[in-house]
Amino acid sequence: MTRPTPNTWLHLDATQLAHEHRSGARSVVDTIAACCARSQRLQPRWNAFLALDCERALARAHTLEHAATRGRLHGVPIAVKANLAVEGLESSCASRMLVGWRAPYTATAVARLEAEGAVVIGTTNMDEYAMGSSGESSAFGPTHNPWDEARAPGGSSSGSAAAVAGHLVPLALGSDTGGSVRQPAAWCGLAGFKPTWGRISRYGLVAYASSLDCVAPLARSMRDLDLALDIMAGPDARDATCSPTALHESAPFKDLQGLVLGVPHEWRAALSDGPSRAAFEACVEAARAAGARIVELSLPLTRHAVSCYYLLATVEAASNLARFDGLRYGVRAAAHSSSLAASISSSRTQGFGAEVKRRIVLGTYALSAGHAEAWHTHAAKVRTLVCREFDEAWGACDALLGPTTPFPAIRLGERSNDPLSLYACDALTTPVSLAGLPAAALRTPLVEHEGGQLPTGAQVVTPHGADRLALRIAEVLETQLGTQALRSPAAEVQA
Amino acid sequence: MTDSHSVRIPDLRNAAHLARLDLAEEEAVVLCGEVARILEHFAALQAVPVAGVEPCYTAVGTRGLPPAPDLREDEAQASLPRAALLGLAPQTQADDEFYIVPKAIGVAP
Repeated sequence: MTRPTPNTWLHLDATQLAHEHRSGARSVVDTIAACCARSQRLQPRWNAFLALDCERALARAHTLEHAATRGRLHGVPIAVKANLAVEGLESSCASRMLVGWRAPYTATAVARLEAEGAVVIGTTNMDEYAMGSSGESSAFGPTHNPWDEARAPGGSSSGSAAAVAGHLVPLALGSDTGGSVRQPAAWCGLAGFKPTWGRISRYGLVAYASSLDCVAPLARSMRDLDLALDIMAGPDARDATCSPTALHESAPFKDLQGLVLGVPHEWRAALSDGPSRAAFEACVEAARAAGARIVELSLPLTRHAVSCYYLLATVEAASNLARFDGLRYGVRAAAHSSSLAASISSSRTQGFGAEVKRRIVLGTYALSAGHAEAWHTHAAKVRTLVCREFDEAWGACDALLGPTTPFPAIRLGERSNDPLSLYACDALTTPVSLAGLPAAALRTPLVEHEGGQLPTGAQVVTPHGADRLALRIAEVLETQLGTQALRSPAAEVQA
Repeated sequence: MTDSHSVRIPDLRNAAHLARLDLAEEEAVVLCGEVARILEHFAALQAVPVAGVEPCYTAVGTRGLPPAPDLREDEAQASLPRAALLGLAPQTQADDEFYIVPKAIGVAP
């Protein structure tokens, strides 16, 4: 076997890396050893991982090296957000409440990737319980953006995004409830994919807002997202909400001839700075150049999406997080009295961080007697209207094209004392989440912003079930824009 | 926003109590103040007319409640090992047969 130089694995996507492992051109053990060493060395810089288990990963690499069956992700190192269960690994949701909690089983999405040969090297940092847009609400310190370490990588899948952008792994899992994979993808120069709600099993995903939560991958190529989706999608007896509908088969598109893309003017108007607007217009021009017909349309409820989303998500979160009481698992705090109620209150008060408490109080209030009709039920009715707006859009176009975020990556600390200004980061991702639609986040050109070059992103949104169409369109757009080979400066950082 | 929708700090403190959060006075003032400001901002949503509109609790499928899932055959299946689950507990009985929880009966709430 000819062994390539140690660091050549860094720049490969998961598809190519697996191919080289399967053919014997590259050693799985060498790749995993190099990947673990790099992740350990760079952990102090980006704080991407909450738990790295190199011993476990290397043991698995040795098994895979000599395996007779070689899957589609043979020997590919992956990172998994710490709200997904990986048996034996600490999955703390970045909360003091679950410090030291090691999952006794593996999430279906992770198990399916492992069955194709993926090697989990660790669980990644995140906003506590997936509640955040910057990665700063982790109980274990913020994640840093590998493009600019003074900036946030986005959230809540902050560590997964940093791990892929920092070339620690080619593929990572996150979760996207209101934009938690698409937004970090935009801020870290990555490809990200939010599937149709119910497309990928959520068994083993710690629930935040069940009617919105999706397991979602991050990568450096659209074909890797497609591969990951193909592997993870499909019914699961352990998740009754998981769709039995098969993914639509489709070869990659050469161009966008015959397709109509709708550009909502409210999404376009949300872009806050000139360079971001120029980057998005370049994407629209790329669509046109690839043969798509562009139509302008309107989604007026976009302006209410953040409010609607946060009311519904916090109500669901208040209910879902009721299970964390320090009785059967997690941390049990000393109480001022020996009663059960005091123990539960003390554990929750000491275990949860500020943003989690804020959302629990908000959600409990919005669902409480005397207030539920005005807040929760009203928001659920507005959600119906949001869905109808998208339904009408599908009468005019095959897919929607819009920016992913209103602005590029913010500085760490810039908005951490102002929850509302952080929620505003989700202005363009939450409408899609409310409607349960699939969306592929693609890379648009870098922009000059506050003295540096930063990534930007766009999202291709398609009707329910048309997950693959979104990925195919996004792939053509990245090729047309030349952003498919975008590499963060971190790729050159030697560990 | 009408008066009936106005956000009162005591109601937020009660919500914190209902959610079993035992906030210290200073934390309660800060947190409830922040939540009140957030809700006041969200109140613009009330201006969206929704008369005759059904609420949506899941966006995929029926838009109402999720459809009843196809149930599997009622057959015994293996569950997670008891020892693995008990091993995650903050406190168990010495022989790891039971969870130990604080006294719930005969104690003032």
